[in-house]
Amino acid sequence: MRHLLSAAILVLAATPALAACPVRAPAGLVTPGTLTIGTMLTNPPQTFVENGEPAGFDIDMSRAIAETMCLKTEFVNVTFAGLFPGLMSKKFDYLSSGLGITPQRRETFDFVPYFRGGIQLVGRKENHFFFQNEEGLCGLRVATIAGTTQALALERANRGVCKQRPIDFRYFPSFNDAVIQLTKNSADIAFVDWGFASYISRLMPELAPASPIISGRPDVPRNLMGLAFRKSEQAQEKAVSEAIQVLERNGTYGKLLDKWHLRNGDVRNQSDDKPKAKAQSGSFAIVFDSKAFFDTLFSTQFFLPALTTLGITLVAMLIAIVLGFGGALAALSQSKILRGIVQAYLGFFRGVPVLVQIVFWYNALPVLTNNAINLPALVAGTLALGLNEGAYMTEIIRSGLISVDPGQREAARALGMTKAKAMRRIVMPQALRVIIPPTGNQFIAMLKTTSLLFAIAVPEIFATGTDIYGRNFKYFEVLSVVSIWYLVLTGLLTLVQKGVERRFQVRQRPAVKGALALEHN
Amino acid sequence: MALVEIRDVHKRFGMQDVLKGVTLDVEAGEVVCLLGASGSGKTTLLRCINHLESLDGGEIKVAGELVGYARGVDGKLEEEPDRITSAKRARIGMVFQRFNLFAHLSALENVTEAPVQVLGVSKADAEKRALDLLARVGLKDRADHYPHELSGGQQQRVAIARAVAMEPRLMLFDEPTSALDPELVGEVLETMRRLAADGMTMILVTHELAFAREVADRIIMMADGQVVEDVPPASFFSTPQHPRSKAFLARAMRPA
Repeated sequence: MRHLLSAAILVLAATPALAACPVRAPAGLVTPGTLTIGTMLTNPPQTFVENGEPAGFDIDMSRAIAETMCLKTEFVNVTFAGLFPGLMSKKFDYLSSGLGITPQRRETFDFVPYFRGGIQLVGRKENHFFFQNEEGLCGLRVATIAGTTQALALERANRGVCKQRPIDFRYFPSFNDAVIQLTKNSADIAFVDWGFASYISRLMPELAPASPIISGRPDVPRNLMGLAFRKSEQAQEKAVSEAIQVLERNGTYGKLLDKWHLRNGDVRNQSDDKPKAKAQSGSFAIVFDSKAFFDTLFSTQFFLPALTTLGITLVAMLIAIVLGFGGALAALSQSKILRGIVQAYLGFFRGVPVLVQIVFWYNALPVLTNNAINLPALVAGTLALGLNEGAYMTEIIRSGLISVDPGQREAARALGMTKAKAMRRIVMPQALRVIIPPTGNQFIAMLKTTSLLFAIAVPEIFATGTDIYGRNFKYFEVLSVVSIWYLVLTGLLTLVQKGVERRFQVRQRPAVKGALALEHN
Repeated sequence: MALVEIRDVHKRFGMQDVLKGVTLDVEAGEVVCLLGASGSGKTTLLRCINHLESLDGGEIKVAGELVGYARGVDGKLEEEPDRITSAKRARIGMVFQRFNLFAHLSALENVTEAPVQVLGVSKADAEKRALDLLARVGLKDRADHYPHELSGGQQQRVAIARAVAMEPRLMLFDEPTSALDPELVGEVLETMRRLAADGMTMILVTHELAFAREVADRIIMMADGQVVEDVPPASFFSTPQHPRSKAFLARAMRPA
C-alpha cells in the first residue's frame, strides 16, 4: 500500500523515468520509508549546506539512490568524530560523507564505492607551490583533518623522507578550517580531498592546487570513496549497490559528476581497487577490546598531552587569579568607572559560553585585527580559558575580601598602615582562608575544561583521544583511557588542594562580621 | 598650644547632621571623657580625630598638624595623600569597642605588627618591647595565643598594648568596655587607669561613669552633635548645668 502510494506521488511529481521503483527498498531501515544518511555537512563539494539545505555531490547521489527505491531522504549532520559511532549505534542507514575506503575501516564496516577519491595539496597562489611528492613538504606547516585517510598517508612521510625535517602537522575539524589556515598564513599547505581542492580554488582565487591528484601512497591507485554500512546489514548494502548501478546505466551518475565538476571522480575509470570479499556478515558485535584498552592505557602517547593539559590548567588559573585579584579590588573600589568595568567584564565572560570564547580568540581575532593578532592555538586557548575563569575568580576573591570584618582593616589603618599595607598584611591573609577552598575547586574544574580546546586542535588529552579513536574506532576503549587520565590528574590536584588547605588552617577563627563594629552615637 | 584642637567640626551621614560645629581643645597629659546619649556624636567625633571619618566642615589639628588634610594655596582644606595621613595616624592610638585584634596573628604578633611594618622597628626589638607591654597588661603568658583563645577582657588589654607599642602621643578609646561581660570590665579599666597615671593623653567615649569621675580631668557632655557642657568631673556630677546633662545623669544614676 505504501509502495503504491509513494509511486503515485512520484508520478504526480512528474518524474516519468521513475514511474515505477527500479530497486526494491530494503527492510530494516532506521525510519521506514526513508533513507537516513549520516553526513558531515562541512565538506564541499560533496557534502555541505547551501541555502539552509544539504547540498553536494554525495547529497545528490543519495537523493537519486532514494528515488530509485521510492524512498525519502533524511540527512543527519554530525561531526567527523560522530560519523562511525552513529552508524554503529544505528542512528543512520549508511554514511555518505566522502569517506575513503581503507583496509582498517573495512575491518569494521562495509563500503559501496561511488567516487574515486584522492588527495591534493592546496597552497596560496603567490607561493607557486607545486609538489610531485611528499619530500617537498618536509618542514612546512600542513593543515589537515585528524584521523582521515589524508592524514594517515601523510604522517608516514614523517617516519620516512621527512625524518630530519618533519612536517609540522596541524589538525582541524574540517577541510574548511584547514584551508582557512592558508588565508590566515598559519599553514603553508592544506592537505585535502581533491574534490575540495578544486572546489575551493574556484571559490577563492588566491588559492591554487599545489599538486596533482594523488593517492595516499605512490605505489597504489587512488583510493575509492564509499558509502559505509554496518557489516550486519547486507540487505541495505545490496539495495544501494543496485541503485548505484541503475544510476550509472541511466546516466544520472555522469550528470551529477558533471554538475559538481567532479568528472575526475568517476568510479568506473579506476583500475581494480575493488573491495575484496566481505568478512562474514553479522559478525559485528560491541565487545570490549581489552588489548586495545591496555595498549592505549600503557602507551606513552598520552604523556605529552597530559603535561599539556596540566600546563594549560596552571597558566590559565594563574591568569585567572591575577585577573581575579585585580577585578575584586576594582569591584570594591570607590571608583564608579572601575566598578563599571568589572561589571561589564563579569557580565560578558559569564554570559558567553566558554567554547565560543575559545573559538573567538583563535579564529575570530585574526579576522577582526586583520591578522595583526594571530595567536597559536595553545596560546589562544589558554588565554580564553584564563580570561573566562578570571570572571569567576573575581567573584571568589571579592567574596573572600568582604568576608573579613571591616574592623580588621580599620584597626590596621588606625595603627598607621596605608591602604595597600592594610590589604596585604591584614585583610588578604584572612581573606585567603575563604578564597583558597573554592579556588582549589576551580583548578579541578579548569583541568576538565581544557578538554574544550580540542575544538581548536590543541593536543591535550581529549584531542589525543579523538585522534586515536578516529583511526582505530575503539571509542569505548580509548575514551576509557582518556577518562582514567583525567581521573588521575584531578586526583593529584585534589591531594595538592588538601595539602594547601591544611597549611592555611592556622589557629584562628575568622573575624566574622557580626554585631555592628561601628556605632554612631 | 593644645595637643588636640577641634574647630567648628561638622559631619553628616547622608541626610543626618551628626556633628554640628564642635569646638574643643585637649591639652597634653589630659584625660577627657566624652559622655552623652546614643546618637549624640561622641564616637563620630573620636573617629574624626584620626581621620577614620572625613570632615564636612571645620578642622582638627593634632600636635599642630591637620590630620587627613592639607591646606591648599587658596586656604581651603584638601585631602592629603594616604601615605602622609597614615604616618600621622601612627602616632594616634585607638582602642575599639570590639577590640579588632588581628584574627590571624597571635597576641605577640598583634603587638609587633605595626611597629615592624609601619615604624620599621627590627623584629627582635619589637618583640622585646611587645613582651614588656604584654607583661604590663598582665598577659605575658598569653603571648602565643590567638585572639579567639582569649577572653574579651584579655583581648582588649592586648589591643591597648598594641596601641601603646606605637608610642602614641594621644590615645582614643571608643567605648572600650561596652562589649565586655561585667566581670571583665575591671581589668580593662585598671589598665587604662595605669596608662592615665603614666601621663598619657586620653580621649575616651565611655559609659563607665564611676571611672570617668575618678580618672578624667574634664567631662565633655555632648547632645545632638554639639558640646553642651565642658567641666571638671566634680562639678559635672554634683552640679550639672545643662538640662541635657541633668537628664543624662538622672537616667544613668537611676537604680537598675
